[in-house]
Amino acid sequence: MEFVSPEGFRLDGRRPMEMRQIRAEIGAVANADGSAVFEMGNTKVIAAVYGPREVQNRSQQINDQALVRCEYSMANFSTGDRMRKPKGDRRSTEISMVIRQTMEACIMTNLMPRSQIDIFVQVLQADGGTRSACINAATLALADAGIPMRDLVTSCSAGYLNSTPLLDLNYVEDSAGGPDVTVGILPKLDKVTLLQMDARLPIDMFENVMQLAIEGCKAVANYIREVLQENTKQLECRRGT
Amino acid sequence: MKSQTKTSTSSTNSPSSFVDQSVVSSYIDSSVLYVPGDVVLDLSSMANQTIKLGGGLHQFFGYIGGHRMGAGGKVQGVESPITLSSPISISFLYNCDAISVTKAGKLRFVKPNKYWVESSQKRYVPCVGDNVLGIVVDSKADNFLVDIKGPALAFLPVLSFEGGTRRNIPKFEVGTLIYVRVVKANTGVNPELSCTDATGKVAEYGPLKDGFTFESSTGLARMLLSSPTCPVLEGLGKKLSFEIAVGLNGRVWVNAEAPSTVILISNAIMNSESLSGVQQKIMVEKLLQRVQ
Amino acid sequence: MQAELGKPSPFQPDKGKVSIYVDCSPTAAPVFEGRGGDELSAELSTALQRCLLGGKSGTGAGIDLSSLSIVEGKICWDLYIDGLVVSSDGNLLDALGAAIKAALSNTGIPKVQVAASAPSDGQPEVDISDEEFLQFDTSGVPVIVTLTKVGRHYIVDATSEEESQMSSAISVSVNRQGRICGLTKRGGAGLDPSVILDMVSVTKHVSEQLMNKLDSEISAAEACEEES
Repeated sequence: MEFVSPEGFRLDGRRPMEMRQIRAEIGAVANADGSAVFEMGNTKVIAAVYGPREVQNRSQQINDQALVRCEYSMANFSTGDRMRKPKGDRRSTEISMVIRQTMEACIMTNLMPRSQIDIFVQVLQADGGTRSACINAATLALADAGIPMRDLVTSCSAGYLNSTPLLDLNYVEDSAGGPDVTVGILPKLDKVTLLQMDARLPIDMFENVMQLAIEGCKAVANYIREVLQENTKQLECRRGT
Repeated sequence: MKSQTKTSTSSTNSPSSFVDQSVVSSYIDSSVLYVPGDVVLDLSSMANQTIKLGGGLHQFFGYIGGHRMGAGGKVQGVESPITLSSPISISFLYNCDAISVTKAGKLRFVKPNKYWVESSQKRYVPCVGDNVLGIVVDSKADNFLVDIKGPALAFLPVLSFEGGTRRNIPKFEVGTLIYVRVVKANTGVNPELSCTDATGKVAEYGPLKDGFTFESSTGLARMLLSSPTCPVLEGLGKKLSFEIAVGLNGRVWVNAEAPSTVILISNAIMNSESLSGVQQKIMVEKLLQRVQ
Repeated sequence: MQAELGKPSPFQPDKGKVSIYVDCSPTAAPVFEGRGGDELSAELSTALQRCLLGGKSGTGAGIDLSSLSIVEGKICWDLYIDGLVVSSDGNLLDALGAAIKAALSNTGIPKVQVAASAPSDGQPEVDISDEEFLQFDTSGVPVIVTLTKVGRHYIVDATSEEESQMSSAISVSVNRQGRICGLTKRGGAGLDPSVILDMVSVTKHVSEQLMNKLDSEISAAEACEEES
């Protein structure tokens, strides 16, 4: 099947190096200490952060740093075919762990020992790149909650189909069987914190695809910075300080 | 992204932070707001100066092969700061100490040397000297356990009341609201509270009876406590009589004769979070008109 | 909303099937993590089914099930209504009822053509049209209004703070004609029958306002969608 036309257009009309439209909103869940909605094309994810607060389960308390917990769940209407069991399946558990490890690396957990930070991510619509959207949403939610972080974490995915590196795969491109490289970076520190790939990719192409994903991450980082600055500005200006 | 090499003449291992005032003040741009990870002060070690870092800022040591973290100071200044934002465009530093931002917000500076990032959150970071409203969760032999919306429960020693001895320990039921002062707040240790001021007098600390409590953000609490009095409270105070206690941890207690007054005041305060001074005045007038 | 082809229940061969499922996301409250939200989800799902779908015999359903039938006794539409609670501040049942009504008004069931020559006992062939859709008729769909009794007063649209103090609550689903389609009482405190009747009449009155507001919001949203 052709994923890139001879003129250089993908199935949804994008160029190979073009990302989908991103949109973010802070403060969607009123009850949560920090929350955000993040959309990448048709993929829509909501993240809520509760904490830092007292550890609920004493046995899990860590004496010199905060306990970071994460749960990833997909709504059963999020994919094309209705899912029977939205929580607790293996893919959800794996993604929960990946998000937790990525966010834990950037949260300054040693500033809040013996406390607990809960990150809940809920997928409302899945169209490829859910992992990346979740990490971006979690970053925004953590910044909204004022939890001290070394840097923002942004994430983007890239693939390789029809001999072309493609940025930000959607569901159709993702299920084509080609490689899917997901990268998470700390933009200011210029470090990679998350790197995952499935399927096969020749080594000489790997660096290109990874670099492409990193460029995508940086673009997301710029957007997230703008959103956070806009949010702060609104709070400050309205209070007249 | 530009990378810049700087030659620093002093050692990068010194524990206190150094900043050159002239370097910092030459970048004054009041429209830049910061986001976690932004480098705010590049510590070229020209002058021997100590700066104090408040909430939201952290010192990172040299970047060769990873970074080691330094301990940040925890002093917080609050009153009428001068806004200083320096848009240092260096984002990748070699061989330098750097102060970078850990919370999104506006950078504040108070002479001579205090910097902090101001932002508004739902949860509270305990700070020595703050007056907060806590809710008693449990009582132990030596302490009351009090929830102050922070990362850990706070301890209120049973003796830290005016004239407190082992014989007259107050009995606080679970759920009692108390107005207290934060005495100790170190990371890793539960914060300690007191119901007396520094000289040992009661000075309005203690349990609050009746009235209505609601949660707010820390930014709204700061605004309510700012001087001159914020427009909302001024407008309400002209026509209504009420008692109010504001905790810097984002809790507000209101008491008045009639429940309808209490509701009016609470709603007015909750609405005023995202309004400017003029809008607040208009909102209060509208609400008061509806009642009369 | 998701519609799939299925076989009708042998007890009601001329009606389609609808199943309502509500999930509570942990983003609404940390207690909903893992299996914590299951109890509330089950309670909400059954309450919604009772209010909108009628009794076991399928009669008196607020949603017209016979419109979902394709071939009597053989093929019908299975409509799955999935709700997700993302942020919670009390009065979930009313909010979910309003959401279901709004979603149903946006639902289009594809037109189905049945092959004329069908074997008498096998499955007839169906051709699902991709182009033509039948808009679901929502004029009969009821709206749910919950009255919460706190002390001696009843309040509509309680926040979670208010719900924490409730003694009991009655949720009534009322349709456009002012008829009651379902009723649920929650909470252990006993209610005087006259009080219940009074609460029900208050609900009918409030439901009119809610229904009008909902309908106007839905048509406004549809108009916006058509423009864009």
